[in-house]
Amino acid sequence: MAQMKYYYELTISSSPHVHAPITTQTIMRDVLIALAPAMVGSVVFFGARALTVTLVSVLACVFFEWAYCRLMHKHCKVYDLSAVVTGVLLAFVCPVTIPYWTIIFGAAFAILLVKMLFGGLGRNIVNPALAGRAFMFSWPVLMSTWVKVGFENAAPVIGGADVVTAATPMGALHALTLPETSIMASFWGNVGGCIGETSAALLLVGFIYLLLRKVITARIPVAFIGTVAVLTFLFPMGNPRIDWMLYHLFSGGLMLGAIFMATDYVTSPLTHLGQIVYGIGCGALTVLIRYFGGYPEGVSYAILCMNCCVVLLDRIGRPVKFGAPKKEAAK
Amino acid sequence: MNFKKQFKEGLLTKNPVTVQLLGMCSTLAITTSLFNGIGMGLAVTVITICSNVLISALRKVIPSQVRIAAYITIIAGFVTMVDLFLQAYIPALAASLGVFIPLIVVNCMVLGRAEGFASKRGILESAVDGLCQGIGYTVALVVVCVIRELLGNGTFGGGLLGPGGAGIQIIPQPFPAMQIVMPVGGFLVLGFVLAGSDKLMKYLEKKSKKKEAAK
Amino acid sequence: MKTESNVMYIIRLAAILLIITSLVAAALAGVNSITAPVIARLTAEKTQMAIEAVLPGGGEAIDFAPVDLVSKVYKGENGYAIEVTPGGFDNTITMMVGVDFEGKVLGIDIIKHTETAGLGAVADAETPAGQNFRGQFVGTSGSVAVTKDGGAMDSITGATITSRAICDGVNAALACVATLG
Repeated sequence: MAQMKYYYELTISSSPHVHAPITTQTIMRDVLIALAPAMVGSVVFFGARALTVTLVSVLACVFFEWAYCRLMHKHCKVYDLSAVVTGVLLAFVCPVTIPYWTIIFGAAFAILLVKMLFGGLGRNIVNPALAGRAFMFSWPVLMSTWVKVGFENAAPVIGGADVVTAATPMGALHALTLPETSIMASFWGNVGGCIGETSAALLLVGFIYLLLRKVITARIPVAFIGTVAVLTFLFPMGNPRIDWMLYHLFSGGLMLGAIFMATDYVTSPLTHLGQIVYGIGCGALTVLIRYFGGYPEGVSYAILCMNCCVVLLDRIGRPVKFGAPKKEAAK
Repeated sequence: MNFKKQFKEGLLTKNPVTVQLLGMCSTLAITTSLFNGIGMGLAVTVITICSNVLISALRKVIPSQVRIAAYITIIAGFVTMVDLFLQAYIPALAASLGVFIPLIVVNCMVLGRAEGFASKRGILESAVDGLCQGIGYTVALVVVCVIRELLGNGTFGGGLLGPGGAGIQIIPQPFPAMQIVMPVGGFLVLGFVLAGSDKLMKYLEKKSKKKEAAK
Repeated sequence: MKTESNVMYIIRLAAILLIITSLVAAALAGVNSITAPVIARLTAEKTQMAIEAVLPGGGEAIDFAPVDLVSKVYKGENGYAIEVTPGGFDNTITMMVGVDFEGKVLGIDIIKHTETAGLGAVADAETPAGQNFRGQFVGTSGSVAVTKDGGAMDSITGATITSRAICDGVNAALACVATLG
């Protein structure tokens, strides 16, 4: 097997070959840069613990990927930074009060079971960070403890049993009432919620960066967020309906999920039409789960469900080969 | 008749759960405590033995055109009897397994043994087959139960051992991962048990081949 | 094959199936006659136990004027046991509330629910958290509410909606007892 060890560096394809300075590493680096504003924002809103939780999550993800490769005698590709992105995203969808051991379990589940057992980056069926979050709902109380924002309420870096808890906009929306906090608070992120999800504004800054760097296209996020907007506007559960819609757009994990998670290359469709259907499916499921589900937030489960449909969505909207007969003619 | 071979088949090489993948519904749904696993396993074993014996005895009477209807009637009869007896004499188990006792009727393992074995073999052989397959089913269920209960609830022997039948706490709270006793954990753990049994069988096969080669 | 023989053949098939089915039915009837009285006794004991859990001494079902959320009323020598069905986080919760003749809660017991495991389901759990939650209703009267709504009941961590539902149920039971006098 020795000569097979480096087979992944050989790419066999037909010509022409165009060399581009794009590697997994540069893409992941761009994603990390795009996540940076939200990281800074979370430290401002929730205190230093937001940073330490993220660091623990990243270290755990990188460690588990490295350890798996060592144990299974596989070439370790930790330097491609994909495990770092998974670690950051996993921390971003957890409350700041999450104990460190819980996020280490979540990282183990995300990397070992969801990513590596399926064959590593590029072969996982669902988004590792979201699957890790779903698994971390094994401890639902820890995953639904929301601190009040502001420096005076910041959760301590170590310990942290006595925090001032507060309702989140998502909790209010799930109870079919408008939140007490303002829409602008939801937009800027000055509300309770998971570490990286609260600030729609800072996540949108990252979105623009990714668009400019051409790391992602706007199709999936726009279809996703647009569907949520249309559905919440058409079927409001609170008045006025425009407020109801804006709260749904700027609260919870919608922006984080639509921009950074639904667009994951591995777990989203390749064809343009497939991507749009995928985004609409994510949006519709999100609204359904938010309205009728057991938990107040539905973005993560919506994306996980649609991840499982990608294999089918990849079959729609395939471009016709140049010069190939049309379907009718072929029959 | 080869009792040893039948036993080995039921337990490992033709295990209804890990090899034939039959009876998945109950395997995924009720395997959250040792009590459930043993109870379900025993109920299915008793029903398989009874239906195998009766179907084997009637195999020359039942015309092949209506055999499936006849088998299902017989199986449903035994299942309902077991259900009634459990409700009357072991109400705790009946409450814990709930609808999954009546659902044994559609447990493919029971019908599979009737169609695949008892309808062609003698009564004694069929009874032994029912017993062996039932034991294989029970063992597989108990393995899934023990893993799920330990990881998901932190206990061992839930419903049987420990204070108030709550099981012996091995992993302290709050560390057990509740998702493992939820449906998703059923699929996860079953997947690992299937992989494990596959690995074990390959290992045993290798070993027996080595033995033969040594001879 | 002649038509007559086909008809005979089908009749023979049907007859065999009929015999098998009849035998199974007869066996089931036999088993049922043994187990039915035992099961009936157990079911009655179970209902009685649910009543006694909240109303010492138990009680008998009585007629009552319809009140929202109330499905059954049992009267005993120490007060009433009211079965109420408030709407929980996921679906309706069926619970028994014991109330004495002065309109004070004697205890609550949750019979059936589909609340979220680990959050709302704590209300029914035999853990210290669950027992504390249910215990705080004992002795209350008039109307109850969770602290978030300005009341005195501590809600279950992460399950305000479920806690509110339980309060609704207790309030309905108290209102029902008020109409009974």
